[in-house]
Amino acid sequence: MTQLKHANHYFWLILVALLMSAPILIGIWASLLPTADIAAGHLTSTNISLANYVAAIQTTPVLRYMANSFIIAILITAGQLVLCTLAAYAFAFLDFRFKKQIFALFLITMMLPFEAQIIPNFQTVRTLGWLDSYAGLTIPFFASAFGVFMLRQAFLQVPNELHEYSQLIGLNHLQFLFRIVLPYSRSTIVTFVLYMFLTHWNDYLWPLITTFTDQYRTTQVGLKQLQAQDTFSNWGVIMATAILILLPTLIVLIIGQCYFRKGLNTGGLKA
Amino acid sequence: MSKTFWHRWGQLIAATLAVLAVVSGIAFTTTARNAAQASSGRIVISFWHSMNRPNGQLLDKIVDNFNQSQTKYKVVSQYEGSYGLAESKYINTLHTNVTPTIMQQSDIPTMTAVGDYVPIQQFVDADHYDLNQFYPGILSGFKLKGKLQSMPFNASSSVMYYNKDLFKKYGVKPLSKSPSYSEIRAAAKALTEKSKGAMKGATLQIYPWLPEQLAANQNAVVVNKDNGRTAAATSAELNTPAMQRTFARVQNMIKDGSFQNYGTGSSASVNQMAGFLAGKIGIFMQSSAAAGTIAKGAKFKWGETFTGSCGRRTG
Amino acid sequence: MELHNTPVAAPSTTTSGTKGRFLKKTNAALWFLLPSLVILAVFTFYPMIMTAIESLFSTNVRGELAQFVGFSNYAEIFSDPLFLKSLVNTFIFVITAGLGTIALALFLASMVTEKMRGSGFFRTAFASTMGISGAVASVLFLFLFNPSVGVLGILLKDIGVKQNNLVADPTGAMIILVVVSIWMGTGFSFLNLLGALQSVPADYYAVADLAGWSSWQKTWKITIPMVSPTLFFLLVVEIIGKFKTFTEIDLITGGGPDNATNFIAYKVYTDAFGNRNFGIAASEALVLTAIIAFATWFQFRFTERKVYYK
Repeated sequence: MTQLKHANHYFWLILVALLMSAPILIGIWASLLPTADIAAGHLTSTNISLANYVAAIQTTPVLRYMANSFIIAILITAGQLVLCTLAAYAFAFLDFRFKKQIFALFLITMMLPFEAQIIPNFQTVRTLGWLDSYAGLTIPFFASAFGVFMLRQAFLQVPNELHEYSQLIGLNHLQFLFRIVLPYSRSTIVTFVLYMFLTHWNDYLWPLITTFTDQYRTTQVGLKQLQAQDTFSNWGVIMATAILILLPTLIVLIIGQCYFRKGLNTGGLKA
Repeated sequence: MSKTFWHRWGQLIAATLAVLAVVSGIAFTTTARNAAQASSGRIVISFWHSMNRPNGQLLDKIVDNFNQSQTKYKVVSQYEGSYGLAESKYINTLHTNVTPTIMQQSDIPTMTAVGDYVPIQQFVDADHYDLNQFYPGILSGFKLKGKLQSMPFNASSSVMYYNKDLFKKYGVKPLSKSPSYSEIRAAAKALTEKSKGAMKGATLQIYPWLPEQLAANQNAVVVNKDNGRTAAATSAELNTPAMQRTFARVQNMIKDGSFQNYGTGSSASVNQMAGFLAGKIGIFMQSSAAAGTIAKGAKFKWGETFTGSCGRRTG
Repeated sequence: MELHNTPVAAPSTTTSGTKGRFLKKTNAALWFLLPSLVILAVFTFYPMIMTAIESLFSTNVRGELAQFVGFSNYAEIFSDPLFLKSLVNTFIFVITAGLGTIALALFLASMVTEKMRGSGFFRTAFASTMGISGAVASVLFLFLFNPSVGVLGILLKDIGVKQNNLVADPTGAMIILVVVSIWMGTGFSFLNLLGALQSVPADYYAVADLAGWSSWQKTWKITIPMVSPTLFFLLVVEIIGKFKTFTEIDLITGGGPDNATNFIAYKVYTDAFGNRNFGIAASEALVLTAIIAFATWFQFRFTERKVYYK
């Protein structure tokens, strides 16, 4: 009886797991099929090959798009790591005037959707001559209230004894930060880095309005570009491109799984 | 947990990050090299266009051929979305680092209103380029005060597309080569009724060029001073009998329930095309340039007619 | 991105006396905060203020501010049937997709709460959609729903759905966006709910078993009340996130057909960058801001209370 119940439970589990991952699995499968077979509706074709991937790399700028996304995701992550660490340090360890008010100021930014700021931001970046450039794609995102909160939260876990000890031996702020605070919070830092990379690898709206050439287009808007140029044909190549773009995401998710789950318990993330 | 996890995964993560850093480093240098290559010796001409799918591929071929034909210039073509989107991008980025050298655009009135371009006539005069290769009728559409503003490159004619299979399926007589308005209205109504609402008979995208064409077919203008050609237009003449007739006809089809409204904005034409290709629309009016997309995407027999007399005759 | 659980209720820094001495110069804080403050000032506060200002102006053909028009942009959008339709459809989408995400996540989480052979694998599978970009998800689903080549498209045709090109149908387009949104959002909600379910004390269920409750009773009388704070929190987070939906609309429906999926965040973009109507777009952006600010405030309040009770 219980065995039957178990088997039943597993049956449903497998079914639901298959349904949830079906879009990705079917996408991967389609990316291996010749476009002619897909167009004819022969999804059960066995003519699988990597030809679509070769075609995607040779005939579309997908590698260029991916390189751009790597660059902007890494630059933003690095920029945020530096700026957010500094700000979080101030909120966690320093006393200063208007601390509460400044903290509230950071808090308020979380209520303001980026979507509502794109018009003036576009105008600012245009004035600075940063359209279609890495600077324009990255610098606006160098600070985030979210990152500051997440790191501050981790920094507050540093035991007071360590803090007092570092004062005793005369460490200055930067020494304390680098020798004690950061190593102590490395688990959060890894979560932070993976999360920021993922978020900005997936950026869409901002690259959509500030990039104008394939030289700076990122993966996500590149996908739109390819789709717009070629909607009615070449399903195989489009699927291969999508899967290529998905790969780094999956790698980061696999590496970061445990960190993300931990992040849910401490800091809380939302993709 | 975090400590053991760090020990287990830390090096892997560090290694991954290092690889990523190297990759981006390489990408940076490639960019620099590409830019250097492009600028070394060759003058880069950036070219924004709105041609996708079969037309876009053909255009890329033309550009490639030109680039291979000589070593002095390099044309870099970029698809920037529909005419409307490309125009917005152009106007939003005037006098910036991304402003294109050459641009393909259909909306001459807006472009002239914005200004900031060199009329092609200057280059025609300088090169003594022979404009007699073009149909005078087409050329006149690109002229302002007798001066050619832009190069006729892909002069669109407005045509009517219709789904022959649907006409046959519902027993509606195919459109004639140059259908009258009443013929179109009757066909649209018959299609809608006989399909029991599974499709709509006709649509007209909310896009200024289309009513403008329909009014022009009735020898009417949309702004004064001969559509702004003899002098800068000072007033709109939209409320003309020709324009009223045009919209009354649309209104009639809406009353018949045979009209599909795809709305305004950048997605309207995509939705209209998707609807036609999906057999949801019997008849629609669009640029002759759409024929390539229809030929490639339609899984049914389709026909093309003039829009000429459908403008002129009353209905 | 949203914040969970942290800032407001976090314990404030411990002592100030020792730290005050440690910090010889208080303006050291300035140097730590300045870089972030500069970036936030230039790219968050300034644009927010500018959006508010631009919403009071009309723009010329070049998209430059032309004339002060007071609140007439607001009057215009709230009497524009297209904007009202956009608002209504946004709410329909946000609520359906939000509730759908939570419901599916709760269902998935309840299936793998108990530790059993292979539960790790299933947890990974259920969480796997977290972090997938809207663009990739859009392409995957465009393919699935394609009437002539996609698995679901063909299936719809086979079961006799006449309007099997969902993208060309107003209701169908909405359905696709809701499905994609649920699929993308489930991973995150699933992980949260899994944590909440696992923290329900096993004793409660043991007692219920003794009392002879059915599993249905246990679900409604124990599980749901115990995870309701998490459910409520997730609902707000999902709703905020779904109000900002953009990528999927841009790639799958382009706001159509007949503006059925021209949700507010997308309308801001098309009015500004498609139609160059910056004044109108700015006032729509402020309406969006008001909605999201309210929801975020709500969430902060709630989070505060939740932590309080713990």
